Amino acid sequence: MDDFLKQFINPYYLQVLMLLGIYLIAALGLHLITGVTGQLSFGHAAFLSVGAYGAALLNIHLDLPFLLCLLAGGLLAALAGVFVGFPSMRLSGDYLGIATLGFCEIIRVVFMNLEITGGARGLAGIPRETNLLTVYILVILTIVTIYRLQNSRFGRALVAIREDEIAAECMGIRSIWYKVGAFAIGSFCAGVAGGLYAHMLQYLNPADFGFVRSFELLCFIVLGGLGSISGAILGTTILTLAPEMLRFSAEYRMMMYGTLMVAMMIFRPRGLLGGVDLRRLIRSSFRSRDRDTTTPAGG
Amino acid sequence: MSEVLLELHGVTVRFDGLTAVHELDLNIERGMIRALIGPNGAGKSTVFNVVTGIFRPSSGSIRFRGEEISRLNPYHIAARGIARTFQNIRLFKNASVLDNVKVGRHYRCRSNIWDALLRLPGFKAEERQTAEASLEVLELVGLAHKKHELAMNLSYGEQRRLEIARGLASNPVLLLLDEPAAGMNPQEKKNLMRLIQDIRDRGVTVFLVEHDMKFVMALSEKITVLDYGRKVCTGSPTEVRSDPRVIEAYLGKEVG
Amino acid sequence: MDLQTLLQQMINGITLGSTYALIALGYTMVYGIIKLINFAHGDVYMLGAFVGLAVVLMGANIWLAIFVAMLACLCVAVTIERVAYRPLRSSIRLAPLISSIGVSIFLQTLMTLLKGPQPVGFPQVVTNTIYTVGLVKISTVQIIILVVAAVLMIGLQLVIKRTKMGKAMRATSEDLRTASLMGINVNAVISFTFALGAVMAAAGGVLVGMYFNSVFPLMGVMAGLKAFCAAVVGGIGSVPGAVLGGLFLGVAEVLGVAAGLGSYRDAIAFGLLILVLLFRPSGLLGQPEQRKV
Repeated sequence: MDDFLKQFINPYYLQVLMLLGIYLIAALGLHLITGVTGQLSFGHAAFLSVGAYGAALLNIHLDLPFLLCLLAGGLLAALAGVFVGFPSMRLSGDYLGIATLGFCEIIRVVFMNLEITGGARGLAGIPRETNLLTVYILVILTIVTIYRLQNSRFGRALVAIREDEIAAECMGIRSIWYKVGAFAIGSFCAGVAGGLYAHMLQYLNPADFGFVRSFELLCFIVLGGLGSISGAILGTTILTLAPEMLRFSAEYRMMMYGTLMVAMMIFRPRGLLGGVDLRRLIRSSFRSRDRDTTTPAGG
Repeated sequence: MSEVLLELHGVTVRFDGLTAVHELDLNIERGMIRALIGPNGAGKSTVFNVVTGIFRPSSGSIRFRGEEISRLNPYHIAARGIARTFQNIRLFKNASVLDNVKVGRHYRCRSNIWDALLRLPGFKAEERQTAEASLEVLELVGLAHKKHELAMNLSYGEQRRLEIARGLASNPVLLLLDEPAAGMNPQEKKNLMRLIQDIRDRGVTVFLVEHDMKFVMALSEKITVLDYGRKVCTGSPTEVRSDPRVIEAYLGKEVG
Repeated sequence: MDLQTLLQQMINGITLGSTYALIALGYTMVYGIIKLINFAHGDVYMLGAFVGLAVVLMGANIWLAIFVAMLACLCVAVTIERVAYRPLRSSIRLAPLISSIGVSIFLQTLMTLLKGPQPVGFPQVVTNTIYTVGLVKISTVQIIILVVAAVLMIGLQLVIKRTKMGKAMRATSEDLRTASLMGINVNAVISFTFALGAVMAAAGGVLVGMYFNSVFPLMGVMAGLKAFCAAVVGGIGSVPGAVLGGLFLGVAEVLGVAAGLGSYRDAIAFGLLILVLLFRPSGLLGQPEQRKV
């Protein structure tokens, strides 16, 4: 498939598209934690790295099939998510964010020092298994998963916790269970994305998974519009492709990127799709059409 | 004498040195509209918070249907059939009206993450049932036509009613209403009174905290008066109205 | 570790810690007033270091360098607040945070474009004599750092406790809305707070440049994060807490490295941060938060 596509698309852009898909999966995971459940996480990159190293090491040392490695990476990340989640549940708001930031940096330093991960030199020799088709199948699977979760008893409980934790508990919701659950699922997504990342770049370096990457993911979902799947997708797409589009001014590209972030926040502080509910928009446009046809009858 | 549903015995609540509720004894009988009144800062909301498990009492026991609940967490207490509203309205503001009520049905439902992912027939049936039951409650409080609005866009009176609907959705045995009439105009108050009576007629015991004396007197069958965290008296509206200690608590000494 | 080494490391730790404390003050004051984690603050510190370097290279002495750096950073920080944070004051909590990350990226790339990503040497500006006091050695540079930091912190304390503006700052951090209803010019107070924080960070930047003999565009990243940890450890919103937290982290880091944890150096601050958050979420000197119903 990729070889086929390479006839039409420059391999570099193919890589960018794959990276976009990988970021989408990770960002959707963060969307569940921060956007839906309202738990601030500054450490999402750590779960990405756990999945990446986990999957890569399983592939290199045990020669497991690729998809199994991805799954195992995701599960390891979910485990890390539960590990970080439980103690953090005593904290809320900015304090939770800060604690996850701390965990993220500690995990990075640990990977920097472990023998098996290649330390600061990084881990090389990972087979290239990721292709565009796998990435986008997983993207669609993630979108469906998150969408279905959001529109269920589980998802409603998460939103209730985001909106008012005390009221949610008084409605019978055991909030700590749900918060840890959201962390686990969100981290699982990040872990799978990490596995894809490892098998795309074939090389991992702890420095790629610092808090800067965590903030990047957070920016994706906030800029698109916190709390909506379409917002997370839009934000991720724009911010992943923007640096590529700004290539005409390679030197100033990151400066413009920073300026863009400030400007977007000032002009649309709730995110690009903030306050816009696509479903409601569609529903109301249908409804207005209904009304148009029924009014003459005296509705 | 009817069955005692909720029984507070010697309940004391202290916050670093300050005693908010002192040795309170209180019984709520099944099927009643029961009220707790008292001047500002008398500790009424604290009683609610301690019954629903948000605070733990410093001492004393709280029994619900014969079972000790004073050490339980809010979600356990909710699951035993106590629902509540809040003095300062705590809705899920950025969720739709319907979703607010659906959350109220949380522990009436069983579906888990896997059901949600696989969308098996059982899950769909439960979701449909949740939606129907929620709509029914919304109709009762007169908000069915606003089901797709965000809760934050409702008027103040509507938000109060939505909170009641959310509490009712769980089919509670006991419904606690914390100042339900606050900020309502006379017409809204009248409607609310009818709504509360409807709720009682459906077999839900109602326990309310209220400021508005007229409202309470017209609605409740038995009233307890609280002042500075201590019980002043308990009785029917006529008894309470004529009790000199109540007048003193409300108006201060110079009148009594 | 014998007593002599321990004492020596304490001196080194306190020196490092006082630079963390200088940066931490800006985080803690800004958070205290507008509840914003100002991620661009570390980059203001970096800017201070570069301005100081430029002044020194023009042949001026270290005092003038510190002064000019302070002035420059003051202007920069007030501008950042005006442009990137003020329009967002009433929007969702995450908006100014994202904006501050944007500013941080902007400042880092700006300096990288101007000076290149590599560290730039900071010339030796004072004759660095090493004095032996009892069991420990202390250098001129260390003395300068400790003295400047102490003077600035005392000065800050006086500003907060004694001046009208300081009083307004304290009132605003208690309750911004009430303060504005009481006739306090909240915008002026916020600008002033950013200015104070920037002044402290700028001095810290020049001192660190002098201490380690180098400055680089990304120097504010790790230092800023650790200083932020210090602010949280001390109790965010508390000025003495930031100083205590800074010194605590500095000493812990230096002792950790001396104990052979060198490769885990950057994790020490974060490990302490998590421990403090789990056992005393409001920090060493912070006010515990009450659960409101």
